[in-house]
Formats: sequence, structure tokens, C-alpha cells
Amino acid sequence: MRTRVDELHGQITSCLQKASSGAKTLEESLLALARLDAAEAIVLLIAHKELFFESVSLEVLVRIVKAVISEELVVRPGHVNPNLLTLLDAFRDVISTDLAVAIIAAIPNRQGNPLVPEVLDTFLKRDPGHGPLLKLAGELAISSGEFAAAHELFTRLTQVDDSMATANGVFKLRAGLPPLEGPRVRVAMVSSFTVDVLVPYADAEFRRLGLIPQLYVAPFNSWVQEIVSDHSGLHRFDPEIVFLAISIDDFVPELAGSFSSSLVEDKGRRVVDQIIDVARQFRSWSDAPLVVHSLYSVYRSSVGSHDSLARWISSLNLRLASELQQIARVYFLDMQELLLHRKVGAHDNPKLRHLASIRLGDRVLGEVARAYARYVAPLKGLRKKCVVVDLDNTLWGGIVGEDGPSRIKLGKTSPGVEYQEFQRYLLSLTERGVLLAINSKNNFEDAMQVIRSHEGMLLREKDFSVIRINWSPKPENMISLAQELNIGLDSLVFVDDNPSEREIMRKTLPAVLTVDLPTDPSLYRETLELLPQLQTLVLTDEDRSRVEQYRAKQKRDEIRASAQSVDEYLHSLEIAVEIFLASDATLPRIHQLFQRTNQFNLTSRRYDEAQFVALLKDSQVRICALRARDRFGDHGLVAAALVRTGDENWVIDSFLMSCRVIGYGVETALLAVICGQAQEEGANALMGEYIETAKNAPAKDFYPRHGFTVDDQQGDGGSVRFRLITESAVVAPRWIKMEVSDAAGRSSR
Amino acid sequence: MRPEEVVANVFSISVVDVTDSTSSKTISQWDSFGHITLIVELESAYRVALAPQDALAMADVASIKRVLRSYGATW
Repeated sequence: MRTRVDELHGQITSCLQKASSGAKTLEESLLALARLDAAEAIVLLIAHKELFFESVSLEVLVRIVKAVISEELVVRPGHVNPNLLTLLDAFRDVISTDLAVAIIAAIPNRQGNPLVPEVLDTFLKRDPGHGPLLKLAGELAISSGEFAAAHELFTRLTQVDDSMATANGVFKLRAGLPPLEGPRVRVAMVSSFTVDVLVPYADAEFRRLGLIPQLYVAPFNSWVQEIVSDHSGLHRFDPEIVFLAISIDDFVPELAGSFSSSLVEDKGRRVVDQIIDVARQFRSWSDAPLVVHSLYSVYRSSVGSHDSLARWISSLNLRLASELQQIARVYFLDMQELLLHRKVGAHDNPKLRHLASIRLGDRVLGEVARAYARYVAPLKGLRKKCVVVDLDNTLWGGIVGEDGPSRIKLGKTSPGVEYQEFQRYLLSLTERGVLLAINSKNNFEDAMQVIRSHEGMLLREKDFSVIRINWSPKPENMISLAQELNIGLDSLVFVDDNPSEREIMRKTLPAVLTVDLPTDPSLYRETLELLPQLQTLVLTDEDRSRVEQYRAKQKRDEIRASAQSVDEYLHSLEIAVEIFLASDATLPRIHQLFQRTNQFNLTSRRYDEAQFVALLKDSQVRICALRARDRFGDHGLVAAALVRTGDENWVIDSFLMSCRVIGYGVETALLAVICGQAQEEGANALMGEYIETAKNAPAKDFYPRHGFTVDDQQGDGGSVRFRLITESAVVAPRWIKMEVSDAAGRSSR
Repeated sequence: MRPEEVVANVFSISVVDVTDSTSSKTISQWDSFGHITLIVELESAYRVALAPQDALAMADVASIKRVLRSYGATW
């Protein structure tokens, strides 16, 4: 046999040296050699790499390398030749990702091999959405102790692979890792059927938001007791949000038979009554949002019957939705809509339904979990403030600098209508409090000509709060744009069709949420529509008018540039504030302000909604808020303070103000009112506190500049405490017109 | 995909560790929930609809292969 190997070896090298002479012979000899002695064939390939690339066509080379590798993998599974890895590295351009995964998975002692991470990296760059590769890389990251990297790889894996095996496998692998640091969220899943199979999907989606989920799954078929009883596991878990998954089929098993509304009408009414009652009961002990699945059935009506099951269920849902709407923070998750929009698979898997009592098909579990994430993101304050878009091939088709304004694709027919659909959606975002901005590499004049006068444009200059059209690197534009808007980079979403621009943005500014825009512009709209970070649970008046407010700010800045002195400027603004105590009506906005304010925030204490509601009811706590307007418009509710009045010294627990009104002195107005109240009600002193964060430098000198002195008693962990004897009053600025009222609207002053 | 590969994928183990005698007794992840996942993945990989008694009878890799063959599946 040895002679045969030598013979083949000789044949191959001579073929290679003569080049051109018979790729066929070369292929045959190499395959024969591989069958006899794969190790020898591997060594040969590695040694003569360049010659192989020169003398054989790429197509043949792909075939040869694949055959040699397969031979080795089949012959010695479990203890393959480590040289295979060197071969993989040398010939990576002609080896498929599938084969690469098979090789790496078969290499013994792959954990310690320094070549493994290098090869993995190459293939991850080339094929970033390859499920088995991501899984392998994740497992290797675990074995080398890189847990954060493993989590990230698993998150990517669950994004590209919706299968139960993957969702479940990742969930179990993650459970074995040491706990991560980061923001947590307590989510409860309560249901009339088994939702265990949904749990891994929900976990994956919440992690994708950067959260560490703690999930509570109520015991099977216990949804009523869990919600109603104050001894339940749900009650002890103290959820931040609850999802209630219910199916009409569980309550009305008759639906499996032939449907007749008269037979089940009564039952249907009782089901709806019960759900509404349970939601009310829940509200009596928890302030967490409750998301209720709408009713739907896996069954259908018979042909020829005028009695439609779908119509009957719709009527139940109509009443359910309108009643649930009356209860604060109860949301109706429309399952019909969700199932209608699913991309793949049946909504029902009868096998799963019967074996595991789950009323959702395996292919829709991911859709449901993503819908859940759209509630959780705004709840945890992950909503972004500004969408920054590219222009060419993002807002319109083609490149304006090359094609010219008249040749770009934008209009009522395809290609072009896709971009209009996308623009219409972006425009609707501005009505929901999201700002728009442009970050594009273009000649300014070319691009502005389209924005100003192209008849297909739905977005115009006025719709963009900031415009950056130039040849600077996009991350640079991003930073200056955030500064102009006075918001953090972590409030920005970046939308660009160009993958390399996205890659640069991700690398340089990871705080910016860079969206993976699909290559097909028909999908642009829904990509943004489904983004959890652009959802909102409560639309406040401030959201609706935010875009107006930024426009007014631009006018103010113009005046500022022309005014003689700061005093003159401030007087000319005609600022007026209204200061009042928080009420149920203003609580959502105040809570939002507490969640979102980072810069002018003295202590940055974040209370969740439930804590906030409790604080409002607490008689020893006073939550004051301030609304401001000037001659250019209404700023809305922009400042708030939480004061603890129970002691002889009043303590300002939280004091914060939107950065939109920094520099107007309205914070002094609010402090003056609090100080006045402390005086009137006989408090000894007023205590303030400053806790430094990465962002709140603008608030650092707030107490000292209003006459507070540093207190002897200091807080822990970087907190500085201040004291003001109440006799020394804080005076509101002269240029502000003040109105003070209590929650009931009675005015004083 | 070979049944061994489906099993390896569902239970996150290496395919070389899967033999005919691999069963719910030898793999800790193979609990009732894992079994449901396995059935869903097998049905989708081989485009078959397994009768409940067959689905529940698949306690090891050998029986998985036997049942799949009886449904005309090949790999």
C-alpha cells in the first residue's frame, strides 16, 4: 500500500509542476490518495497550496478539498487529524461554512487550539447569519470562559434560527452560565394553557433588548387563582409586567364540534366577564402593566353555515378590548393581527397542542415573544428619541449624485413606492414624539434639491430636526447631531442601507442602535415598525408635540445670537411656568421624565411604575412638577421633584429637569416654590443630594449655587448631601412669570 | 440530516456522542419538554406526522430510526 501512496504522491506533484496538464488526473489521484491515506492528502494540499490555486479551477478545487475533508471526517469521527484545521485555514476561500463547522466540531482539544478562534472569526465575518456556526462559536466561548461573548453569539443565533431546538438549547446553555451584570426585568407569564415552550423564546427576545430577564411561569391552568389571590406565586414574584395568554378553546371545548353561536353564546359572555373581572382584581394589588392576549380559536366554521366562528369571536374581542381599555395599564394583544402577519408556519400545531397543551404553533412562538418584547422595551425606558436616516437607497432608490434628482426612484410605482411607504412611516413617528435627522454622504445641494422639490418626497426639510449632509465620517456627524439635539448617543437609531457604514457605526459608536436594514426596500417599513425600541405604551402630550418643541428651540437660538445680553434674551423669551402637585393625570409624564432624564438629574433615582404610584399615595411624600412655555411655544411638563416631608428636615429625594430647558432658570423657580412651602409648613431645613453619574455634570453645582452648604452628614457611594436653613429663601428668577397651584387646580400667587 | 444530527441539535450535544442506544436515560436534557421539542424537529426535518403512540414510543435513537423508517423517511 505504501508504494501506491508514493506513486499517487509522485503523480500529483508532477501534475502540479507541469501545471495545466490534466486537472482531471490531479483530481482523481488526489481522491485516490485521500481514500488510502487522508492524512497524506491533507499534508500535500497544505504544502502545495499556491500550486493548487494556480493549476486547478476554483470549481474543481472546491470539490477536491471537500472530498478530502469528508473522507477524513467519515473515516475517523471523534479523533480527526488536527492538520484538518490548518487545511481549513489555508483553503478557507473554497470551503463552505457548513463544512467548516463540521471540521471545527470534530477537531479534538479544540478549546486549547489558538487557530480555532481565528478561523471562527474569519467565517463569522463571512457568514454572520450561519446558525450552526454561531452555536459552535457560542459553545466554544463558554468553554474558554468568555461568557459575555457567548451570550452575544447566542442572541445572534436566536435571531437567525427560530426553531424550538435552538430556542430551547440556548435557554438551557444560558441557564448554566454565571449571572450577568445589567438591567433586569421581572416578567410573569400566566395562561390558560401551557406556555413553557414560549419561555425560551421570550427569554431570548428580552435579552436581545439588553435586559436580563427573570421569568415567572404560573402553574398550569391556574390563571384565575394566580391573579386573584394575594397568596399566589405571582403575587410574591412582584412582576414588572404580566402577559396573560388565554385561548377560547380552553374555556369552550364545544368549539371543536360544529359551531353554532346560540349554543355557546352564554359561555362566551361569561368568559369575557371573567377576564375583565380578573384584570380588575389584578389592578387592585399591582400597578404593573397587564397584557392580555385576544381570544382566538384553532377551529373553523362549516361551509354553508351563516354562523361564523370567527365573527362570533370578533364580537367577544370587541367587548373585551373596549372594557379592558377602561382599566389603567391593561393592554390588548391582538392575536388575529399577530397571526395574520406571521412570516412562516401554521398558527396551530395539533401535535403540540395535544401532547403539550400549548395553543400556539411552534412556528409562531418567536412572533409572540417578539410582540412581548415590544411591550417590555418601552416599559424599561429603552425607547429611542431620534431616528437618523441615510438618503441614497434609504429614503429613495438610486444615488442622487450619480443618477441626478430626476432619475432617482421615488414615486407611486415600484421601484420607488417602497421608499414612499417607508417615508410615510417615518413621518408618523414624528407624530409620536420621535425626532428625525439626516446623516448622509452627499453633496449638500444635490440632496437638498430632492428634499426641497422632488414631488415624490413625503418628508421635507421641516420634518428633520437636524440635517448633516457632507463628506465627514458618519460617526462624527452622529456625535455632532446628538450634541445639537442635546440628547445622548444611546437615544439614537441609525438607519442606513450600506452594511459597511453600519459596521463602522457599530464599531465606533456602540451606544447608537444600528438597525440591520434588509436589502429589499419593500421591507424597510416593517423593519422599523417592529423595532421594540420605537414603541410606546402611553402616548403623552409631550410626545405628540416634541417635534414642534425642537423647531421652536431653533427659533430661540436665533434670537439668542442677536440679543445684547443674556438677561435681555431671557426676558425676551417671556417664560411662564406653572408649578403643581402630581396627580393621576400627570403621573405618566412625570414617571417618563424620571425614567428618561439623565443630564439635569440630581440623584437619578429610577422608580418603577408601581413604586411611583405608591409614592403618589404616600402622605409624607410630595411630588411637584413644573410646566413651562415661552413666546415660541409650550415646552410641556419639563421638571419635577420628589420631596420627603415626614421629618423636621425636608429631603429632596429627586430633582430633575429636561435638558430642553437648561439655561432658562426654571429649576430655580421650582426650588423656590419647594423652599417656600418648607418655610410655611415649619420645616427646619431643606436637604438636597447629588449623586454623580457619567452624564449628570450639568446638575453638579445646583445646590451650591442656590445657597446650600455641604452637610456634615455625608451619604455613601459618591453621594454628596447639602443643607439649606429654611430662613434663607431661594428666589425665583425675575424673568419668569410664576403660577403655583395644588393638584386640584387651586391657584395661589 | 441524519436522526443522530437532529438529536444532537435538540439536546445541544456533539453528534459523535449520539449512538443507537442514546436515550432519555443517558441524556439529562431529554425530559418531557425536550421530547416535545425532539418530535417537533423530527416532524419538520422528515416532513412526517407521527401518531401520538409512535411519538411517545421513541425512547432512544434506535426506536426513533425504526419509527421514522416505518413512515417512509430516508436519510
